[in-house]
Amino acid sequence: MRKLILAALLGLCAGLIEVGGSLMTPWLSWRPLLALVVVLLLASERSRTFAAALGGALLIDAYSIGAFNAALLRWIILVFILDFLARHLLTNRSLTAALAMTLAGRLLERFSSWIFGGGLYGLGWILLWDGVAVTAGFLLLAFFTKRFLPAVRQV
Amino acid sequence: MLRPNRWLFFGGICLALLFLTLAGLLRPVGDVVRFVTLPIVRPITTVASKFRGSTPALTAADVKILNDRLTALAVDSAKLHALAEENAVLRAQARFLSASGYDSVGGRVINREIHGPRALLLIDRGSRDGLEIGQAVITGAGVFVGRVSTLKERVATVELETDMGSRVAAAISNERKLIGVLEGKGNGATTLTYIPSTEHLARNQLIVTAGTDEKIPGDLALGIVNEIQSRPTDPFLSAAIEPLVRMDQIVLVSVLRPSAFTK
Repeated sequence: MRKLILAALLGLCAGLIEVGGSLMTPWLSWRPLLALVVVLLLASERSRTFAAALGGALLIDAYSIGAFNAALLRWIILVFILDFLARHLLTNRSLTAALAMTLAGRLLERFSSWIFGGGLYGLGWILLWDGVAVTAGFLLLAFFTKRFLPAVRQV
Repeated sequence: MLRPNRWLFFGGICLALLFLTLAGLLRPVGDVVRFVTLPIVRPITTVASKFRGSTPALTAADVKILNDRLTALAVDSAKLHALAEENAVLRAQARFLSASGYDSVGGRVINREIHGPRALLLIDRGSRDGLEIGQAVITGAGVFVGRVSTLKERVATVELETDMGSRVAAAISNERKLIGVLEGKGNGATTLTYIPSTEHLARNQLIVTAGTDEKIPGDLALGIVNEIQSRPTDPFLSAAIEPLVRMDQIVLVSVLRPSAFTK
Protein backbone atom coordinates (compact mmCIF):
# COMPACT_ATOMS: atom_id res chain seq x y z
CA MET A 1 0.00 0.00 0.00
CA ARG A 2 2.82 2.38 0.87
CA LYS A 3 4.49 1.79 -2.48
CA LEU A 4 1.17 2.39 -4.23
CA ILE A 5 0.78 5.75 -2.49
CA LEU A 6 4.41 6.60 -3.25
CA ALA A 7 3.83 5.81 -6.93
CA ALA A 8 0.73 8.04 -6.96
CA LEU A 9 2.70 10.87 -5.35
CA LEU A 10 5.47 10.46 -7.92
CA GLY A 11 2.81 10.67 -10.60
CA LEU A 12 1.43 13.85 -9.05
CA CYS A 13 4.92 15.39 -9.02
CA ALA A 14 5.40 14.45 -12.67
CA GLY A 15 2.01 15.98 -13.44
CA LEU A 16 2.99 19.21 -11.64
CA ILE A 17 6.16 19.48 -13.72
CA GLU A 18 4.16 18.82 -16.91
CA VAL A 19 1.63 21.51 -16.08
CA GLY A 20 4.09 24.08 -14.72
CA GLY A 21 6.68 23.53 -17.41
CA SER A 22 4.21 24.00 -20.25
CA LEU A 23 5.16 27.68 -20.47
CA MET A 24 8.78 26.91 -21.30
CA THR A 25 10.16 27.23 -24.77
CA PRO A 26 9.69 23.93 -26.68
CA TRP A 27 13.33 22.90 -26.63
CA LEU A 28 13.30 22.98 -22.84
CA SER A 29 9.79 21.68 -22.29
CA TRP A 30 9.98 18.39 -20.38
CA ARG A 31 7.02 16.05 -19.83
CA PRO A 32 8.19 13.44 -17.32
CA LEU A 33 4.97 11.46 -16.78
CA LEU A 34 5.51 9.06 -19.68
CA ALA A 35 9.12 8.39 -18.65
CA LEU A 36 7.91 7.60 -15.12
CA VAL A 37 5.22 5.25 -16.47
CA VAL A 38 7.65 3.37 -18.72
CA VAL A 39 10.26 2.91 -15.99
CA LEU A 40 7.62 1.72 -13.50
CA LEU A 41 6.16 -0.72 -16.05
CA LEU A 42 9.54 -2.33 -16.52
CA ALA A 43 10.69 -2.24 -12.92
CA SER A 44 7.56 -2.51 -10.81
CA GLU A 45 4.01 -3.84 -10.62
CA ARG A 46 1.25 -2.81 -12.97
CA SER A 47 -0.92 -1.40 -10.16
CA ARG A 48 1.79 1.11 -9.19
CA THR A 49 2.14 2.18 -12.79
CA PHE A 50 -1.60 2.86 -12.95
CA ALA A 51 -1.44 4.81 -9.69
CA ALA A 52 1.37 7.01 -11.02
CA ALA A 53 -0.40 7.54 -14.36
CA LEU A 54 -3.68 8.43 -12.68
CA GLY A 55 -1.97 10.87 -10.31
CA GLY A 56 -0.30 12.71 -13.18
CA ALA A 57 -3.35 12.57 -15.47
CA LEU A 58 -5.51 14.07 -12.71
CA LEU A 59 -3.33 17.18 -12.68
CA ILE A 60 -3.13 17.39 -16.46
CA ASP A 61 -6.93 17.24 -16.62
CA ALA A 62 -7.34 19.85 -13.88
CA TYR A 63 -5.18 22.37 -15.76
CA SER A 64 -6.12 21.50 -19.32
CA ILE A 65 -7.31 24.20 -21.68
CA GLY A 66 -10.56 23.51 -23.46
CA ALA A 67 -13.74 21.83 -22.41
CA PHE A 68 -12.84 18.17 -22.88
CA ASN A 69 -9.38 16.71 -22.51
CA ALA A 70 -10.11 13.28 -20.95
CA ALA A 71 -6.50 12.90 -19.77
CA LEU A 72 -7.55 10.29 -17.19
CA LEU A 73 -9.17 8.09 -19.83
CA ARG A 74 -6.30 8.56 -22.31
CA TRP A 75 -3.61 7.67 -19.81
CA ILE A 76 -5.43 4.54 -18.59
CA ILE A 77 -5.72 3.27 -22.14
CA LEU A 78 -2.10 4.23 -22.78
CA VAL A 79 -0.82 2.28 -19.75
CA PHE A 80 -2.84 -0.77 -20.81
CA ILE A 81 -1.39 -0.65 -24.31
CA LEU A 82 2.17 -0.17 -23.04
CA ASP A 83 1.71 -3.01 -20.56
CA PHE A 84 0.50 -5.24 -23.39
CA LEU A 85 3.57 -4.28 -25.43
CA ALA A 86 5.89 -4.99 -22.50
CA ARG A 87 4.41 -8.41 -21.75
CA HIS A 88 3.68 -9.80 -25.20
CA LEU A 89 5.79 -8.05 -27.83
CA LEU A 90 9.03 -6.95 -26.22
CA THR A 91 11.28 -9.85 -25.46
CA ASN A 92 13.29 -8.48 -22.55
CA ARG A 93 13.63 -5.65 -20.07
CA SER A 94 16.40 -3.72 -21.72
CA LEU A 95 17.15 -0.08 -22.40
CA THR A 96 16.20 -0.62 -26.04
CA ALA A 97 12.83 -2.00 -25.00
CA ALA A 98 12.32 0.98 -22.70
CA LEU A 99 13.10 3.44 -25.50
CA ALA A 100 10.81 1.57 -27.90
CA MET A 101 7.98 1.72 -25.39
CA THR A 102 8.67 5.41 -24.82
CA LEU A 103 8.47 6.17 -28.54
CA ALA A 104 5.25 4.17 -28.93
CA GLY A 105 3.79 5.73 -25.80
CA ARG A 106 4.55 9.31 -26.80
CA LEU A 107 3.13 8.86 -30.30
CA LEU A 108 -0.02 7.32 -28.84
CA GLU A 109 -0.31 10.06 -26.22
CA ARG A 110 0.11 12.86 -28.79
CA PHE A 111 -2.32 11.18 -31.21
CA SER A 112 -4.97 10.79 -28.50
CA SER A 113 -4.42 14.40 -27.42
CA TRP A 114 -4.77 15.52 -31.06
CA ILE A 115 -8.14 13.75 -31.26
CA PHE A 116 -9.33 15.96 -28.38
CA GLY A 117 -8.04 19.16 -29.96
CA GLY A 118 -4.42 19.17 -28.88
CA GLY A 119 -1.48 19.54 -31.24
CA LEU A 120 1.78 17.90 -32.31
CA TYR A 121 3.70 21.07 -31.47
CA GLY A 122 7.31 20.50 -30.42
CA LEU A 123 7.09 16.70 -30.73
CA GLY A 124 10.73 16.38 -31.71
CA TRP A 125 12.03 18.06 -28.56
CA ILE A 126 9.57 16.16 -26.39
CA LEU A 127 10.79 12.82 -27.81
CA LEU A 128 14.39 13.84 -27.21
CA TRP A 129 13.74 14.68 -23.56
CA ASP A 130 11.70 11.47 -23.19
CA GLY A 131 14.70 9.46 -24.37
CA VAL A 132 17.04 11.25 -21.99
CA ALA A 133 14.68 10.79 -19.04
CA VAL A 134 13.98 7.10 -19.67
CA THR A 135 17.66 6.36 -20.21
CA ALA A 136 18.60 8.14 -17.00
CA GLY A 137 15.80 6.44 -15.03
CA PHE A 138 16.63 3.01 -16.43
CA LEU A 139 20.35 3.33 -15.72
CA LEU A 140 19.77 4.64 -12.19
CA LEU A 141 17.39 1.79 -11.37
CA ALA A 142 19.71 -0.78 -12.93
CA PHE A 143 22.67 0.55 -10.96
CA PHE A 144 20.98 0.82 -7.57
CA THR A 145 18.50 -2.06 -7.62
CA LYS A 146 19.95 -4.63 -10.02
CA ARG A 147 16.38 -5.36 -11.19
CA PHE A 148 17.30 -5.70 -14.82
CA LEU A 149 20.09 -8.21 -14.41
CA PRO A 150 19.29 -11.55 -16.07
CA ALA A 151 18.62 -14.43 -13.70
CA VAL A 152 21.58 -16.81 -13.71
CA ARG A 153 20.90 -20.41 -12.83
CA GLN A 154 23.65 -22.39 -11.17
CA VAL A 155 24.27 -25.72 -12.84
CA MET B 1 -3.50 -12.02 -24.04
CA LEU B 2 -5.75 -10.64 -21.33
CA ARG B 3 -8.48 -12.96 -20.14
CA PRO B 4 -12.00 -12.01 -21.31
CA ASN B 5 -13.09 -10.89 -17.83
CA ARG B 6 -10.07 -8.55 -17.63
CA TRP B 7 -11.02 -7.03 -20.97
CA LEU B 8 -14.54 -6.52 -19.60
CA PHE B 9 -13.10 -4.90 -16.47
CA PHE B 10 -10.86 -2.63 -18.53
CA GLY B 11 -13.71 -1.71 -20.88
CA GLY B 12 -15.96 -1.00 -17.93
CA ILE B 13 -13.44 1.38 -16.38
CA CYS B 14 -13.00 3.23 -19.68
CA LEU B 15 -16.76 3.57 -20.21
CA ALA B 16 -17.27 4.72 -16.63
CA LEU B 17 -14.55 7.36 -16.95
CA LEU B 18 -15.94 8.54 -20.28
CA PHE B 19 -19.42 8.84 -18.80
CA LEU B 20 -18.19 10.65 -15.70
CA THR B 21 -16.16 13.10 -17.79
CA LEU B 22 -18.95 13.83 -20.27
CA ALA B 23 -21.52 14.24 -17.48
CA GLY B 24 -19.21 16.66 -15.66
CA LEU B 25 -19.26 14.53 -12.52
CA LEU B 26 -15.49 14.72 -12.24
CA ARG B 27 -15.63 18.51 -12.04
CA PRO B 28 -15.65 18.60 -8.19
CA VAL B 29 -12.53 16.43 -8.23
CA GLY B 30 -10.86 18.90 -10.57
CA ASP B 31 -11.90 21.81 -8.30
CA VAL B 32 -10.34 20.12 -5.28
CA VAL B 33 -7.16 19.32 -7.20
CA ARG B 34 -6.86 22.95 -8.35
CA PHE B 35 -7.56 24.24 -4.81
CA VAL B 36 -4.73 22.10 -3.41
CA THR B 37 -2.18 22.47 -6.19
CA LEU B 38 -2.60 26.07 -7.42
CA PRO B 39 -0.22 27.47 -4.74
CA ILE B 40 2.41 25.02 -6.04
CA VAL B 41 1.71 25.49 -9.76
CA ARG B 42 2.04 29.31 -9.56
CA PRO B 43 5.73 29.37 -8.48
CA ILE B 44 6.56 26.58 -10.93
CA THR B 45 5.07 28.57 -13.82
CA THR B 46 6.88 31.70 -12.57
CA VAL B 47 10.20 29.88 -12.90
CA ALA B 48 9.21 28.17 -16.17
CA SER B 49 8.13 31.44 -17.77
CA LYS B 50 11.73 32.72 -17.44
CA PHE B 51 12.66 30.06 -20.02
CA ARG B 52 9.93 30.88 -22.52
CA GLY B 53 12.39 31.84 -25.22
CA SER B 54 13.53 35.21 -26.45
CA THR B 55 12.26 37.36 -29.26
CA PRO B 56 14.28 37.08 -32.50
CA ALA B 57 16.89 39.73 -33.24
CA LEU B 58 15.66 42.74 -35.21
CA THR B 59 16.92 43.41 -38.72
CA ALA B 60 17.51 46.89 -40.13
CA ALA B 61 14.24 46.63 -42.06
CA ASP B 62 12.36 45.77 -38.86
CA VAL B 63 13.88 48.79 -37.12
CA LYS B 64 12.79 51.11 -39.93
CA ILE B 65 9.24 49.74 -39.86
CA LEU B 66 9.10 50.17 -36.09
CA ASN B 67 10.43 53.73 -36.30
CA ASP B 68 7.76 54.61 -38.87
CA ARG B 69 5.09 53.18 -36.61
CA LEU B 70 6.48 55.04 -33.65
CA THR B 71 6.22 58.31 -35.53
CA ALA B 72 2.64 57.62 -36.60
CA LEU B 73 1.67 56.56 -33.10
CA ALA B 74 3.33 59.61 -31.54
CA VAL B 75 1.03 61.84 -33.58
CA ASP B 76 -1.99 59.80 -32.53
CA SER B 77 -0.80 59.89 -28.93
CA ALA B 78 -0.64 63.69 -28.92
CA LYS B 79 -4.19 63.93 -30.24
CA LEU B 80 -5.38 61.35 -27.73
CA HIS B 81 -3.75 63.24 -24.87
CA ALA B 82 -5.59 66.40 -25.75
CA LEU B 83 -8.87 64.52 -26.09
CA ALA B 84 -8.29 62.72 -22.81
CA GLU B 85 -7.86 65.97 -20.92
CA GLU B 86 -11.03 67.37 -22.39
CA ASN B 87 -12.86 64.11 -21.67
CA ALA B 88 -11.77 64.14 -18.03
CA VAL B 89 -13.19 67.59 -17.51
CA LEU B 90 -16.50 66.70 -19.14
CA ARG B 91 -16.83 63.43 -17.26
CA ALA B 92 -16.11 65.06 -13.93
CA GLN B 93 -18.86 67.58 -14.68
CA ALA B 94 -21.38 64.90 -15.71
CA ARG B 95 -20.32 62.44 -12.94
CA PHE B 96 -20.29 59.76 -15.61
CA LEU B 97 -17.13 57.89 -14.72
CA SER B 98 -18.33 56.54 -11.36
CA ALA B 99 -21.41 55.02 -13.03
CA SER B 100 -19.64 53.26 -15.86
CA GLY B 101 -16.15 52.55 -14.56
CA TYR B 102 -14.28 49.31 -14.84
CA ASP B 103 -11.76 47.76 -12.53
CA SER B 104 -9.44 44.89 -13.20
CA VAL B 105 -8.21 41.73 -11.56
CA GLY B 106 -4.71 40.51 -12.32
CA GLY B 107 -4.01 36.95 -13.35
CA ARG B 108 -1.04 34.76 -14.18
CA VAL B 109 -0.89 32.46 -17.17
CA ILE B 110 -0.48 28.86 -15.98
CA ASN B 111 -0.98 27.01 -19.23
CA ARG B 112 -0.89 27.93 -22.88
CA GLU B 113 -2.02 26.34 -26.16
CA ILE B 114 -0.84 28.42 -29.08
CA HIS B 115 -0.32 26.45 -32.26
CA GLY B 116 -2.10 26.28 -35.58
CA PRO B 117 -5.66 27.60 -35.40
CA ARG B 118 -5.79 27.64 -31.61
CA ALA B 119 -4.61 30.41 -29.32
CA LEU B 120 -5.77 29.87 -25.74
CA LEU B 121 -4.41 30.70 -22.30
CA LEU B 122 -5.32 29.31 -18.89
CA ILE B 123 -5.13 31.88 -16.08
CA ASP B 124 -5.28 31.40 -12.32
CA ARG B 125 -8.46 33.45 -11.83
CA GLY B 126 -12.01 32.13 -12.02
CA SER B 127 -15.62 32.74 -11.09
CA ARG B 128 -14.82 33.24 -7.43
CA ASP B 129 -12.77 36.33 -8.46
CA GLY B 130 -15.79 37.92 -10.15
CA LEU B 131 -14.89 36.87 -13.69
CA GLU B 132 -17.57 36.31 -16.31
CA ILE B 133 -17.52 34.80 -19.76
CA GLY B 134 -16.92 37.46 -22.40
CA GLN B 135 -14.91 39.88 -20.25
CA ALA B 136 -11.98 41.62 -21.89
CA VAL B 137 -8.44 40.53 -21.07
CA ILE B 138 -5.58 42.99 -21.45
CA THR B 139 -1.86 42.96 -20.87
CA GLY B 140 -0.23 45.21 -18.30
CA ALA B 141 0.33 47.89 -20.97
CA GLY B 142 -3.42 48.07 -21.68
CA VAL B 143 -3.39 46.16 -24.95
CA PHE B 144 -6.43 43.94 -25.60
CA VAL B 145 -5.34 40.34 -26.09
CA GLY B 146 -8.56 38.33 -25.81
CA ARG B 147 -11.64 37.53 -23.80
CA VAL B 148 -12.69 34.98 -21.19
CA SER B 149 -14.19 32.00 -23.04
CA THR B 150 -14.68 29.30 -20.39
CA LEU B 151 -14.87 29.63 -16.64
CA LYS B 152 -14.29 27.40 -13.63
CA GLU B 153 -14.20 28.34 -10.00
CA ARG B 154 -10.45 29.05 -9.78
CA VAL B 155 -9.23 29.10 -13.39
CA ALA B 156 -10.45 30.53 -16.66
CA THR B 157 -9.63 30.04 -20.33
CA VAL B 158 -8.82 33.12 -22.38
CA GLU B 159 -9.47 33.01 -26.12
CA LEU B 160 -6.79 35.21 -27.66
CA GLU B 161 -7.56 37.55 -30.55
CA THR B 162 -5.47 35.35 -32.90
CA ASP B 163 -7.63 32.25 -32.20
CA MET B 164 -9.69 31.11 -35.19
CA GLY B 165 -12.90 31.54 -33.18
CA SER B 166 -12.20 35.09 -32.02
CA ARG B 167 -14.34 37.98 -33.28
CA VAL B 168 -14.06 41.52 -31.90
CA ALA B 169 -15.77 44.70 -33.11
CA ALA B 170 -13.09 47.21 -34.10
CA ALA B 171 -12.70 50.90 -34.79
CA ILE B 172 -9.90 53.19 -35.91
CA SER B 173 -8.12 54.93 -33.05
CA ASN B 174 -9.54 58.43 -32.40
CA GLU B 175 -12.73 57.61 -34.32
CA ARG B 176 -15.77 56.33 -32.51
CA LYS B 177 -17.53 54.44 -35.28
CA LEU B 178 -17.46 50.69 -35.89
CA ILE B 179 -15.26 49.96 -38.89
CA GLY B 180 -15.16 46.19 -39.06
CA VAL B 181 -14.66 42.90 -37.24
CA LEU B 182 -11.23 41.70 -36.12
CA GLU B 183 -11.10 37.97 -36.82
CA GLY B 184 -8.45 35.57 -35.62
CA LYS B 185 -6.79 33.55 -38.37
CA GLY B 186 -4.56 31.28 -36.30
CA ASN B 187 -0.74 31.14 -36.45
CA GLY B 188 -0.51 34.53 -34.74
CA ALA B 189 -2.43 36.43 -37.42
CA THR B 190 -5.56 38.58 -37.38
CA THR B 191 -7.61 40.18 -40.15
CA LEU B 192 -9.97 43.13 -40.05
CA THR B 193 -12.95 42.22 -42.22
CA TYR B 194 -16.20 43.86 -43.35
CA ILE B 195 -14.50 47.24 -43.78
CA PRO B 196 -16.78 49.45 -45.87
CA SER B 197 -15.11 50.30 -49.16
CA THR B 198 -15.73 53.99 -48.46
CA GLU B 199 -13.42 53.91 -45.46
CA HIS B 200 -9.81 55.01 -45.88
CA LEU B 201 -7.38 52.85 -44.01
CA ALA B 202 -3.65 53.48 -44.04
CA ARG B 203 -0.69 51.34 -43.03
CA ASN B 204 0.45 51.69 -39.43
CA GLN B 205 -2.92 52.98 -38.27
CA LEU B 206 -3.86 51.83 -34.77
CA ILE B 207 -7.02 49.69 -34.51
CA VAL B 208 -8.91 49.67 -31.22
CA THR B 209 -12.00 47.98 -29.77
CA ALA B 210 -15.23 49.65 -30.87
CA GLY B 211 -16.99 49.23 -27.53
CA THR B 212 -20.06 47.59 -29.08
CA ASP B 213 -19.30 44.13 -27.68
CA GLU B 214 -20.88 43.40 -24.34
CA LYS B 215 -18.32 43.53 -21.51
CA ILE B 216 -15.52 44.84 -23.78
CA PRO B 217 -14.94 48.59 -23.34
CA GLY B 218 -13.95 50.73 -26.29
CA ASP B 219 -10.53 52.20 -27.17
CA LEU B 220 -8.47 49.20 -26.11
CA ALA B 221 -5.58 48.81 -28.56
CA LEU B 222 -5.92 45.76 -30.83
CA GLY B 223 -3.17 46.04 -33.43
CA ILE B 224 -1.57 47.93 -36.29
CA VAL B 225 -2.73 47.90 -39.92
CA ASN B 226 -0.14 45.98 -41.90
CA GLU B 227 -1.58 45.40 -45.34
CA ILE B 228 -4.89 46.37 -46.91
CA GLN B 229 -6.47 43.79 -49.20
CA SER B 230 -9.14 44.74 -51.70
CA ARG B 231 -10.55 43.64 -55.02
CA PRO B 232 -12.66 45.85 -57.30
CA THR B 233 -15.64 43.44 -57.08
CA ASP B 234 -15.67 43.21 -53.29
CA PRO B 235 -18.13 45.42 -51.40
CA PHE B 236 -15.92 45.24 -48.32
CA LEU B 237 -12.22 45.63 -47.73
CA SER B 238 -10.07 43.56 -45.43
CA ALA B 239 -6.79 44.34 -43.78
CA ALA B 240 -4.07 42.26 -42.14
CA ILE B 241 -3.64 43.52 -38.58
CA GLU B 242 -0.47 42.87 -36.68
CA PRO B 243 -1.00 42.26 -32.94
CA LEU B 244 0.90 44.59 -30.62
CA VAL B 245 2.18 41.83 -28.35
CA ARG B 246 3.57 38.36 -28.93
CA MET B 247 0.90 36.02 -27.64
CA ASP B 248 3.39 33.30 -26.68
CA GLN B 249 5.25 35.74 -24.40
CA ILE B 250 2.28 36.76 -22.25
CA VAL B 251 2.78 35.88 -18.60
CA LEU B 252 0.62 38.37 -16.68
CA VAL B 253 -2.80 39.66 -17.72
CA SER B 254 -5.63 41.76 -16.31
CA VAL B 255 -9.32 40.96 -16.73
CA LEU B 256 -11.59 44.00 -16.94
CA ARG B 257 -14.74 43.62 -14.92
CA PRO B 258 -17.48 46.14 -14.18
CA SER B 259 -16.93 47.91 -10.87
CA ALA B 260 -20.36 46.80 -9.71
CA PHE B 261 -18.87 43.38 -8.98
CA THR B 262 -16.13 44.58 -6.66
CA LYS B 263 -16.72 44.11 -2.93
